Amino acid sequence: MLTPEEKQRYDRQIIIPDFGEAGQEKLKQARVVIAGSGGLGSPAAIYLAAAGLGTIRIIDHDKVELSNLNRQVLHWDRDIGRSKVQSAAEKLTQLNKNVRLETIEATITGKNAVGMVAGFDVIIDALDNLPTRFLLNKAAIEYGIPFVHGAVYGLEGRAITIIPGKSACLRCLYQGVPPQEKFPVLGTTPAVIGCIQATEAIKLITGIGTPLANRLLIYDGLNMKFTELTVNRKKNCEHCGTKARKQS
Amino acid sequence: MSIAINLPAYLRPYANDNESIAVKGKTIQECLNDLIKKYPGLKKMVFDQDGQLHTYVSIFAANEIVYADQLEKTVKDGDTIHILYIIGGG
Repeated sequence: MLTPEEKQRYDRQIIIPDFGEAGQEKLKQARVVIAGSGGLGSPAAIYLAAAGLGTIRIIDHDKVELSNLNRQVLHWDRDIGRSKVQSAAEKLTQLNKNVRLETIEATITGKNAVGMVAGFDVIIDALDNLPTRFLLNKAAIEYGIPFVHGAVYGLEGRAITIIPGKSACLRCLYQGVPPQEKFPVLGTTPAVIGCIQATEAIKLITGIGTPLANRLLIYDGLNMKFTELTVNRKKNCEHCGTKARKQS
Repeated sequence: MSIAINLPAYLRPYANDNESIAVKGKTIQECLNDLIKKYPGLKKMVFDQDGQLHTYVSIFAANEIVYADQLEKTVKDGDTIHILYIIGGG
């Protein structure tokens, strides 16, 4: 049941057609895990907390650095050197005390990935490296947890929602990993994509709208345009196709 | 027959900063070959030493994903091919 304070706090979204108090109640009961509290994770976490998510788990092993501050808006000057999850949890608690925040300051590995996401309703992929994104993609498919992927480079961003068993996965889209390098990024790019990821999570939880499944959304900030490309499930995908089922 | 190949920001420096390049070809592979002919610097970014697509490059034609073993698919006049280089920044 929503409290009178909650009804007032979330009034502007409760009055959205098809959202209603029922949608707000679903958000209150929902559990979302955000992998990464950097450029993508910051806006995603801020808007999910503001929307009244029941539980947000944030996973990040990093500490705040000066070079993070052009885009990682949960972390401020005073936080440099501090654990990112602690910095993020503090701000999010101040934003909305009703949200239950869980923090894990650890590196996601093949061994611990499943344990970190099991039991959650949605995974937000706000990471900064591809090998770990693939680990989470696989864990999401194994446990049937919707997975909202976002990635950025410069003024370009991409997002896609993966519905395990129903839509193409990250491995259907990309099969390999290039040599890792420092990536350029304007802070507004992950802001756009992180907000799209938060929107997708809210839609999945409340059941409103159409998810970004089988559709890769590309944001081109330089030319200010969005492009949508269709991604079909790959039959022999290592993570979600027949090849994966034979291995498991 | 004219086909447009659209490049992501990451690959544009290898093609004189062009976003869209007009190429000729009846199949996706022929169009990619024409692109490489125009901008040889793109070759190592798109294909590996064996001439296969890099595993981290995705191709889309007529807005649908095309896998490495489907490059002989035919294209039609006015189609756009998108080359996506994987990005992972967050």
